[in-house]
Amino acid sequence: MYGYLLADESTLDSAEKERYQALYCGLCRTLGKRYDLPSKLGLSYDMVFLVMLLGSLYEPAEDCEQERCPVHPIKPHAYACSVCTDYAADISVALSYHKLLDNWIDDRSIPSRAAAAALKRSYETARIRAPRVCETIERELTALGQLEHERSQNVDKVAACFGRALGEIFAWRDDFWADQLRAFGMHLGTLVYLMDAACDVERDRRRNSYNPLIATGIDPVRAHDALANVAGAAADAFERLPLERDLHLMRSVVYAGIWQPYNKAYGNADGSDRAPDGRQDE
Amino acid sequence: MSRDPYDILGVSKDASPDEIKRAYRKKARENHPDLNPDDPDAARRMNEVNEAYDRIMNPEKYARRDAAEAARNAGAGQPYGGAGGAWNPYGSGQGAGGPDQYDPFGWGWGGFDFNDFYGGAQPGGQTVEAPVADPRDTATVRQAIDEIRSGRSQDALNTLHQTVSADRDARWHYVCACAQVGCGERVAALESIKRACELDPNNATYQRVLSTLTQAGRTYQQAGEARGFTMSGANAQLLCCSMWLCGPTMCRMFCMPFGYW
Repeated sequence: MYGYLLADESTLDSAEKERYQALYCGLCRTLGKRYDLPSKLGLSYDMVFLVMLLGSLYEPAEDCEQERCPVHPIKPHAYACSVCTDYAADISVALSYHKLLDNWIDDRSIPSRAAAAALKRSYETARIRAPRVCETIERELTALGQLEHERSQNVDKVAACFGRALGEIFAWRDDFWADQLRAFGMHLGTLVYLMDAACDVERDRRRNSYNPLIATGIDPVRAHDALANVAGAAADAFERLPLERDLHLMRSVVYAGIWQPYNKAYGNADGSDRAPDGRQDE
Repeated sequence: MSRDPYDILGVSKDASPDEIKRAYRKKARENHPDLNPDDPDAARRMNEVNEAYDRIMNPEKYARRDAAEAARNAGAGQPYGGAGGAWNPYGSGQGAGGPDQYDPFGWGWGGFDFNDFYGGAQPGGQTVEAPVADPRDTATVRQAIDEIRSGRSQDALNTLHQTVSADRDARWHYVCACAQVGCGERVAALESIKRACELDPNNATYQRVLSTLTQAGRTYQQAGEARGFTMSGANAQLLCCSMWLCGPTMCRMFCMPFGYW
């Protein structure tokens, strides 16, 4: 379920693209410093969304520098990190570890099994750093696995497991904003699960793997309205948070980028075939 | 809260949501305890700013809480607070209008009651009418309608699924949609009401329910377009490859592990 919380590049200006890359590079750097090289296998723009969300809400001090790295060995590149990046790195390790275990259980993927073994020690460290969230991830992914094993026909119930996990991930601190972050994460996580299910229908059908849309006979193209409803709930929760920093970048994810994998699989379901001319907000 | 929340944030009552957010940010930077370590009153001011923002942006939540508190204060001795029969303060799937109104977004998953956050005004802000029995209904459909109106939507679903596929007409799909709404099965509910509309395209009630159940998506699309975004856009892989200087090969190593894309 990676690759959904991405910004739509066509809606970003050059400064935003640089900012987005700096945050991504900051996460990569933090994974290397806080954990190890294998931990970077789970590096994703999805976790950059988490960095942006919490960074915008709590506005921690940012460390913005330039450096060379194995991917950029010649020209120094900009990176940006903060305590939110540290937390996102912990979550990245946790989600990667569970994804690899899931690949092993579902597909008997030996590379995934080996990678999970390589990540196990890092995961144990992440679990010490973020115990509440890791416990929730474990619990909800176990419940999700059970429902998938039973080939549940309750699409919402299955998707809600991932929703609750993402909700707990978003509720970084037990403070005034925790409930609203949980609500946003709940809707967004539900959407990500459903999007992933829609995008994987053909693959799962070939492999006879569980897919809630296949189990309920819902055509993934017809599911567009249902996905839009859940996206609406997520956007509503998002817009109630007092966010300013990186707001346009995050809106690019919430209103546009999240549809990219689905549109790639099924075309532009709303019939539009032109990208927007540019920003109209802010 | 004794002070007007708009006064606390220093915005006018017709301020846009983005203006309110910017005003909050300004007050937060001025009053946050971490930025005022020597000010013992900073935490209190910050809480006041937080609640002021929350009251403006989540009016439904406070309207429900204020009504609940007023009812508790006024209804001493009445376990459910006031006239009107049983009242569920946690709003689990029932709209503010009572059993005849179904909140299609009354999700109560995992212990979270989203009515606590958004009150009765869910995305889309509409409710679904409870089905009313018709003399032409089968016994199964009639029983399911009774169960829905009694707040037993899951029992209604179990009842409806006793009907074989060949006998599932438009009416069956409509009642099924209502039961699924009551159970929080929103994806299934939308699919069911679509089927009802396909089987009986001229039925105004079915069309009304379909419109209600798709309102959130339409609102979302309009909100995105108003901000310059569209639900159809560029290929996601172009984003990653265009932002890395070292080309697609290095990009894949770090950006697309495990064949996620």
